Amino acid sequence: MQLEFIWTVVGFLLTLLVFSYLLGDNPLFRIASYLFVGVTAGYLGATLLYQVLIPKLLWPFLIGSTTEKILAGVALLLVLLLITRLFPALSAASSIPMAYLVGSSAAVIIGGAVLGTIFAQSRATASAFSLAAGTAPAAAGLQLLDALFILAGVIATLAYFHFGAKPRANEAPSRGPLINTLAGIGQVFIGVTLGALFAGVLAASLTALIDRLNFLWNVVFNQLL
Amino acid sequence: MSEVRCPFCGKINTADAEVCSTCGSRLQALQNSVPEETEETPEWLVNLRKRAQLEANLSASTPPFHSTDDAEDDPPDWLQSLKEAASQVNTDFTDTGDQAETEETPADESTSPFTVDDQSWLRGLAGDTPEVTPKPEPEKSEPESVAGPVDWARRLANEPIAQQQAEDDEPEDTEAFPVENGELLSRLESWTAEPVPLERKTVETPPPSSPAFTVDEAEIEEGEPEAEEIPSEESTQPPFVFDSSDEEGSESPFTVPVEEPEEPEPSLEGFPDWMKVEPEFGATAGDDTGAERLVFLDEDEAQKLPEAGEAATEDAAPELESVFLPEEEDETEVSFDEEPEEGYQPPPFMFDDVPDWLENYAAELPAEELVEPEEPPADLESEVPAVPFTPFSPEDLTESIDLPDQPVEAQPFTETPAEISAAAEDDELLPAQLPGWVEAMRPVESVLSTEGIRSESEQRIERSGPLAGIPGTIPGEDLATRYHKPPVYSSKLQITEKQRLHANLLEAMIAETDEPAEAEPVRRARPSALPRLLVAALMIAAILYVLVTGTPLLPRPYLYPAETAAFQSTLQYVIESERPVLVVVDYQPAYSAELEAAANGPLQDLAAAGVGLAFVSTNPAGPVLGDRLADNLAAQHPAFSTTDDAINLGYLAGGSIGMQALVQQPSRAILSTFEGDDAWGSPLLSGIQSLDGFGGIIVLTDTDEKGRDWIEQVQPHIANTPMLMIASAQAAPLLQPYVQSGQLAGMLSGWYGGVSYNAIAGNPSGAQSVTWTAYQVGIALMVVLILVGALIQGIVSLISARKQDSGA
Repeated sequence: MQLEFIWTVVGFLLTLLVFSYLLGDNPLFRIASYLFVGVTAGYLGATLLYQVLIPKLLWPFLIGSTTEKILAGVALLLVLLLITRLFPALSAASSIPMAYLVGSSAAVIIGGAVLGTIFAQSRATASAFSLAAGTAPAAAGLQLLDALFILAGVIATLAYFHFGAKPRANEAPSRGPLINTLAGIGQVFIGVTLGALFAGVLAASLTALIDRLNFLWNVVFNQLL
Repeated sequence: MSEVRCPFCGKINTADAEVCSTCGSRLQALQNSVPEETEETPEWLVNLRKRAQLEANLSASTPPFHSTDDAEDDPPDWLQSLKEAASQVNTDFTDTGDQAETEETPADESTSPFTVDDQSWLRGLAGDTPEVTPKPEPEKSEPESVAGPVDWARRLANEPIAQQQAEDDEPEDTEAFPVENGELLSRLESWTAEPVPLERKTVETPPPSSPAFTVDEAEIEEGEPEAEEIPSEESTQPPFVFDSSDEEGSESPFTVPVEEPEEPEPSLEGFPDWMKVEPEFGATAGDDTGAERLVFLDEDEAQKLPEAGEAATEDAAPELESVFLPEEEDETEVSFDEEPEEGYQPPPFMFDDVPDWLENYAAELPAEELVEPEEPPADLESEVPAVPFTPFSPEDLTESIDLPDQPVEAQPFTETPAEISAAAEDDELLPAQLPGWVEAMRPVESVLSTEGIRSESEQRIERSGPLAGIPGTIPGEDLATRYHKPPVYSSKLQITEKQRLHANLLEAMIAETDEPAEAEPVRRARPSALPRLLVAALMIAAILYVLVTGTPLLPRPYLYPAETAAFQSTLQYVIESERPVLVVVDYQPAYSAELEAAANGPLQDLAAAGVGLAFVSTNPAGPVLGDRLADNLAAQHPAFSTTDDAINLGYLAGGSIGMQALVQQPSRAILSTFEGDDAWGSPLLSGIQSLDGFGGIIVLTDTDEKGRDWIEQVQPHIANTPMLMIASAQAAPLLQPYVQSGQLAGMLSGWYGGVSYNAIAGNPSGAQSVTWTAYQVGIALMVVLILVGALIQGIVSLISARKQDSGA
């Protein structure tokens, strides 16, 4: 009970320190910021040590099978090479594990993007026009309208990101009239999307504010009063 | 020699080319002036010797021009006086030694019988200066025996100086000369006593196509540059003299009689020093022409000899015919008109200028005046070897006269053919007329440049061609090869039309960037403290008012998003499957309030249904947030055990790679729980070998990137496991397409999605209602503040625009 109260008071104070930012950048806000950064870094280090290095590198290399030791040895070698980045004379050796990480990550990300986004989204855009059998005319009309709207939004948005232009002598490069029109329509879609994102940010921030105010009120009303 | 190299440009021309095919420079004259050093006696010299021998025999045998019929005709008065003067000079010349000591005669008027008849008369024929024309003046009682040799020698040495000094009437020359040059005068007397010169000058009639004349002109053209280099003794001699002095036995027959009086060269010791020191004046064209006239007359005489021989003596005719008839044929072949040389200047009395009386002069003159037996000097005859006679060729004569007596240091040939011709013509009129003091006043540059070129050219010795062995030849080849045409580079850039367009485009871009940006005063919207505090106070006050008072309570939403309904229906399917659910906690602690409120309803439904929950996160802070969720569920549902119904798999390292590894083999991607226990050996996860072993996957994320990674890396590899998404309100719009594409079975968007889910699911939650009221109040207040702010900004902009319009 006492420990929970202490942590509640600590939380209450840190919340007030963060709210002090309303008065501008001040030492109180910096204390809270540095405290969070330090705690987070320590927590991450402990988490990586206990969640990654010991169970996935050290134990297999020490008590694992031969295959696990070999694999762990390769991983350990890559780790050591990556540590050489701290030394300028040996930093060239770190390019090997970095190349491995970048190459493997790129391959995984690109493969997932192709399969999970490009193909799936293209198929979904086209399938919006496939009316299921037995659909009511009104529903079918709405579905078709929705599909056309989505298609128009996709094309217009893609047209907005089409930055190619034909060079013209003594004139600034500009897009063609058709692309320019579609880009204007796409700009509307993009604006709506960004507005929705901004509204979501406000909603998320408002939720956090309400949570912190509710916490403060609960602490003051329930713990202090 | 088959080819000739041009000294000007260095180009090779054919041997018979008269001018250079490249620069047009004259080649033939240069060749003629080049001395050929041959060991063997040239053919022309042999012909000349034969001819001289024949002529000597002819002269000794019969006086050819005595008493002809044509000579009886009346000559002109002046010619008659000339004849009388000639005869008188002949007689006076014999008394030269007696009268030399007592007589003093001006230089121009004191001429020896030979010189008077020879040079003065020839100059009269050549149209030379009239003062040189012999004028036998009987009123002048001054004996010419002394002045004659002096003037003759002076003319040979330096005629302009003699003329100039004659005008001054300097007595030193005439007074000293008889004493000092007695020997010379005696030799001259003995030489002039011979009838040869008189014979030739009187008999002479220049033929129209005399080859000797061609040679003379060629030599005149080049006599000027050579005159400075030839020594005085040689320059004073007529051009035909050095032929005999240079090579023994190579004497031309025509030059032998004339050369004989020049033999006593030591007699020049008696001349004054200035006559010796300035040899260039002795080699003037005037003297040369005078001597060359003799050569010309000799040649013409040789042509006239057969006719005269027929008229005078019958015995000499066959011999003459045998000798000269072939020569006439050659002369007709090599006529001057047929092969005119470039830059050649015909003499004034040649061809058309020669009057008829002069052409017939030889026939008109009396035989005793025209012909006097000529006997070559004994010593000269001894020098001239007897050579077999060959017909004379005009070309041979030409070459013989052009050849210098010795290798002459060639001067830089800097004059063009036209200049050479002009110089030759000038030399003929005023030969070497520059006195010494004028030479000294010449511009220094001309002297320096000439000397510089000369010194440079003297280092060169020709190794081939007609100039072989002669040092200081014209370095035409070096000059020609030393300079080259400068390379010509095209200044026009060859580009295509496309490249030009690109260049213009780049230029336009650079021009735009080069333009300085207009320094417009930009009013930065600094968030002042007062508005910030005012907005913050409004928001906090409004929310606290709702939280404190709990009023007004707003109803739950009645309209639900389609993805929320799909989420609720799918979750029901997951609950019915009775398989554990994998809950992915990939959000930051700052968004825990939103996502925990959104996920509270579904998790409570799962916990109430006894569905096991396995928490995993690719965020290091995720395992703690997972424990927090489990603790909240356990607090709300006493039947939910955090140890039996929930398992925290901890942190999944590697991001997308970790997700891919989890898809491929979960047991190798996650070895233990967050607490360090065996994850896959727990009762909750036993029997699960892949993600398809879970009843469903619920992803809680605050960013679209994390949600998309899970969709892209995991969803395509799970077939029977639905993927649900609880996203923050800021990430939901970007994840919405995946819901419509069917990749996500359902999605809750933020707090609104959680409230909607509770409304659909029928979960009662009083606290959520208070916070929901605060949430809606806050959203409404934010909208109002945004609208007020936009209105204020519009008003300010409108006012500023009106101010600008009014100010303008």
